Amino acid sequence: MKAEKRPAKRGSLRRREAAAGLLFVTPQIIHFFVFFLFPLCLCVYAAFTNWNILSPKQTFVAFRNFQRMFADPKFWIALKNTFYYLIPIPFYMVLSLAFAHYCHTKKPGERTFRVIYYLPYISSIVALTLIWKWLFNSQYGIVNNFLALFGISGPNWLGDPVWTRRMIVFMIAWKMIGITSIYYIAALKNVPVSYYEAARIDGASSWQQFRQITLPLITPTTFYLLLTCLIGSLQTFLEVQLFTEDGGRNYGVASVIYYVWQKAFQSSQMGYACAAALVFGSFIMIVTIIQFVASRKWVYEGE
Amino acid sequence: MKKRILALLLALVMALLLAACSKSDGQPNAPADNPASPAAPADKDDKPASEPSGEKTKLTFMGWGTDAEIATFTTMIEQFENEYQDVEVEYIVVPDNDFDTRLQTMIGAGQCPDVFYINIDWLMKYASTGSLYDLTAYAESNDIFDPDNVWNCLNKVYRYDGEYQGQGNIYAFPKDVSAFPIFYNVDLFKQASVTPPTADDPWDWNDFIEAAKKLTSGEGDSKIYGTGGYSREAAVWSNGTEWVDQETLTQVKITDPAFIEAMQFCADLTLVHGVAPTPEESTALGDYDRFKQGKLAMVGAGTWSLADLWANCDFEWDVMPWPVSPNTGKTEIWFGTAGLAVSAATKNPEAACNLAAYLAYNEDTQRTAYQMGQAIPTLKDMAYGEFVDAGKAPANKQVLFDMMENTARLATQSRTFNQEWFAEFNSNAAAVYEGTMTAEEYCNSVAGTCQQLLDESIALKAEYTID
Amino acid sequence: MNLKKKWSPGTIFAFTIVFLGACTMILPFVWMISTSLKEANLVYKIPPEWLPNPVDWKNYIEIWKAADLVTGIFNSCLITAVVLTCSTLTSTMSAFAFSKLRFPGSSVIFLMLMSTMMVPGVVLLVPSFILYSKLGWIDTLLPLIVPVSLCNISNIFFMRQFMTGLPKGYLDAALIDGCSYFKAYWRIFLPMCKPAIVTNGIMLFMGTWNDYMGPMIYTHSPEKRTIQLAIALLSSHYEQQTDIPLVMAASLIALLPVLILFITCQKYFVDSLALTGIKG
Repeated sequence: MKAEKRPAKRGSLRRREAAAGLLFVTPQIIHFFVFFLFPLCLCVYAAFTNWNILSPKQTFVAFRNFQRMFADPKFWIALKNTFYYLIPIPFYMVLSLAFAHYCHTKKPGERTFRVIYYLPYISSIVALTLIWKWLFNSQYGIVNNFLALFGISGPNWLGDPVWTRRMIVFMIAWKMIGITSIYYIAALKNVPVSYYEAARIDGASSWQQFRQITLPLITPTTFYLLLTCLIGSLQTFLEVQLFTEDGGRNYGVASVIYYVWQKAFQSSQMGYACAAALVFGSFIMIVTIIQFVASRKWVYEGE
Repeated sequence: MKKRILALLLALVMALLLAACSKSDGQPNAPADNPASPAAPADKDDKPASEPSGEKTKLTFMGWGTDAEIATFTTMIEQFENEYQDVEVEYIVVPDNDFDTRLQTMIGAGQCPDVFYINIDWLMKYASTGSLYDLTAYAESNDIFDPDNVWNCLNKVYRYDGEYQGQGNIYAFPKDVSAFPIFYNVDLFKQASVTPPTADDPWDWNDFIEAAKKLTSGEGDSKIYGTGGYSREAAVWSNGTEWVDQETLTQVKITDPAFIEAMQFCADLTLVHGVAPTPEESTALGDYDRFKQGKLAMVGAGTWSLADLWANCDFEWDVMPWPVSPNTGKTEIWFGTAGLAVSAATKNPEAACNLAAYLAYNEDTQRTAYQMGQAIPTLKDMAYGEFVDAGKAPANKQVLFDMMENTARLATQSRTFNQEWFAEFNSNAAAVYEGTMTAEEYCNSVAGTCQQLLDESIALKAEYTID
Repeated sequence: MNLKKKWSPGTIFAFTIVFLGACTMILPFVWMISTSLKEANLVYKIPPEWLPNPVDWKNYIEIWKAADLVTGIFNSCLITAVVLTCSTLTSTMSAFAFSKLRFPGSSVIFLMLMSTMMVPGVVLLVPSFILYSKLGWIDTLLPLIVPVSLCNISNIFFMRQFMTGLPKGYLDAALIDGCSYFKAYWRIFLPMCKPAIVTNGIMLFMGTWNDYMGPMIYTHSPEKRTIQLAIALLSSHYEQQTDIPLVMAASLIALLPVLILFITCQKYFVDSLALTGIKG
């Protein structure tokens, strides 16, 4: 190949590649502008008005919604609770990796277990909540009856906000183990067997293999799970709505999204709700960007 | 090769699915090809106000309800369509939990249904923002119903004058009404030789405590309590006091000694007298369910539970009025109701009003409702007549009628623009019942926040009201 | 020997832990089945009964009358099938572009798409409703199909993570062989992503099948009802008016398709192993 011909060819290749790339993401771009940016713009606009959904009357109120929100103790309580709902993430991620490893290494009963572990996630949340209320009933529920066997008098799970929060945390972890493990199973399958063979020849123990090969190679999945679970947990809402009335005693169970929902649809302060959602959305975005930046340090990016 | 076949198959499946999908969307009333479809009733811009002759007037009607209620309304709507040949009604059912979210979304997008259920707590919000059609003129000149035959309290609650609920223009018709008496277990009363009060000789709080003590027995799993949680509204109002002053609805009055006394009375039933379940026991098994299982002698419950009690109680039960306060000799309790409102944006106000009134005051609707055990009739002659004659429990229906005629009123929180201050008050009220705070301490601790939230609701009312 | 290896002490320990976990997972489910076979008035019986007495199968017959499950299942199937097909295509295509192609603004576009995950859906509800009503999509299935078919960012993200791990050499080789970019995607990368596609497919199926808020807000006529909406109409916030056994029976019926799909895909998970173990 002649040297002087290469740049031209490369340029046209580049252009073709760029065109193909853009073409491949066109549906997403359409989606972004039509179904996201347009509603979002309305939302941003509304955040500076006193829009109440019901009447067409809207007045520009500048930063009033934001000021009120930051002055509202309920918002801060809800924010604190929302952070509380992040607690289970590392626990269930570790547990689900362990479970995925169990399945991946073809330990006894893994197929049956996989289906069982998947059950909580696929059951309808309405039915699940009815059942959980029953299981965690302070006097008659199976959980407290079980604790009583060990002489522990179980707490008032549904009445005491501290314990309701703990119950929700437990429920999230319990529900997520199965589903996150699916991602890990897929990731584990993707680790080339030859790596392990090479390591075995070098005399590495199973733990060393796991530490040195498996963990680093599944970091893309870990990163994905960490990010989506974080975004998901920050938006905890249904559990709060289904388990409590008005966010529980002293608002002790409410999450930020629940707060936003209440403002939007219970007191019809849509402008206010938009403001709260924007602030919280920006917060999530900052967290995500930080994670992306940090990910360069620890996420395996292929060859 | 295999791949190509797979690809072909995939494409085929997709094409088929899309075709099936667009077919199901392409039905005659798909809004895309027909702007006058029922899905876009409030689409004012591109539709002439007057219908061409021969075309039916289309109305949308949105409600919630149990299967029984949905069945009733479906029948009623058919009857209505027979009677008003030129009107066609589309009936939308939304789960009750999400009804208000849905309704507000539709209003926000300018797609409000023509006729819809309305929660009494939110009447002011919808009325002040101009979402509701003013029914006053219609109510005065229609021949569907006679206001004198409707419980008096119901004739007032759906009125709003821009300031106060209960006076001014009419914005909805009552769909149903529920009284909230004390239900009692006749068998347990007999065992404990307690005679229920009569209209001439009502109990006061002390009589109530005495009776409840006699009715309380047993330990552990066989524990029977005399009473469930005492309605705070009944206690506070009977004691001649209020959450918020009734003149202007601007001042929170929960630090009033009479208020504190009433709240402490409710809590002392558990704390001092041990005749009511503790808050923890109530979360484990609700008072109402405890009553149904024969482990509670008296419980405050709404008449919407009649059907459930008919079906699931293996003991005899009846109703009685709430005891009077020893300080005032009076008793007061709230009643519940949901209304039928007409959208201000409706293009066919007359037909919509007819539909609302027809559904609200129709004898068959009311008859089905009481036969299903969901409510008591809103029509007085029916209540006193066939409702009594039907002979179903409770035996003492006069108690319910007395409430509707004399002692029942709209709850205070329903008369303020929103209920956030009230939710704040209730938020940690259990602390008083647990004994971790006295009623006095609790009321003093939340009074400031309640007042602030009430002030905010008043400011919101002013801001939302359009002239 | 084989047995001994299979049941080493470590395995027994792991098995016990996993087994105990499985017990907690299956317990509510058993309770669901048991409740669905109870008579309504026995649900809250104290102490709770694990074995319904009498066993009452009529809920499973009644449910087909009480809620229009057939329409619900049909609509849900329709939505899910279209969404699964379209979304899988769009997600894999864009993930391919994001992970393997260099084009202007790729990282900006990706971050833009990521940001759609961060705004709480609650506040976009009313604006979206306005948009769909302007498009004439209210009371059609389109709002439940089109947006998610065009873009499902969490799927794209996962797919991108997955494809990042695949060697780029395949693309170069294919291009040198004269393949177009689409052909390289279709013939080489798409088949290699099978495990990720299955995983995503299950998640998407779940999300679409169990979606409740969307159908509740955007559809209203009975012919457009989805399965979750049909179930929601059975329960009411007046708990006394909710026929709990009926709700449980309906939920179990709704759960079946997802469960069947999952069990079927299990096999696929294992089979697809050989396809991806190529690197290195």
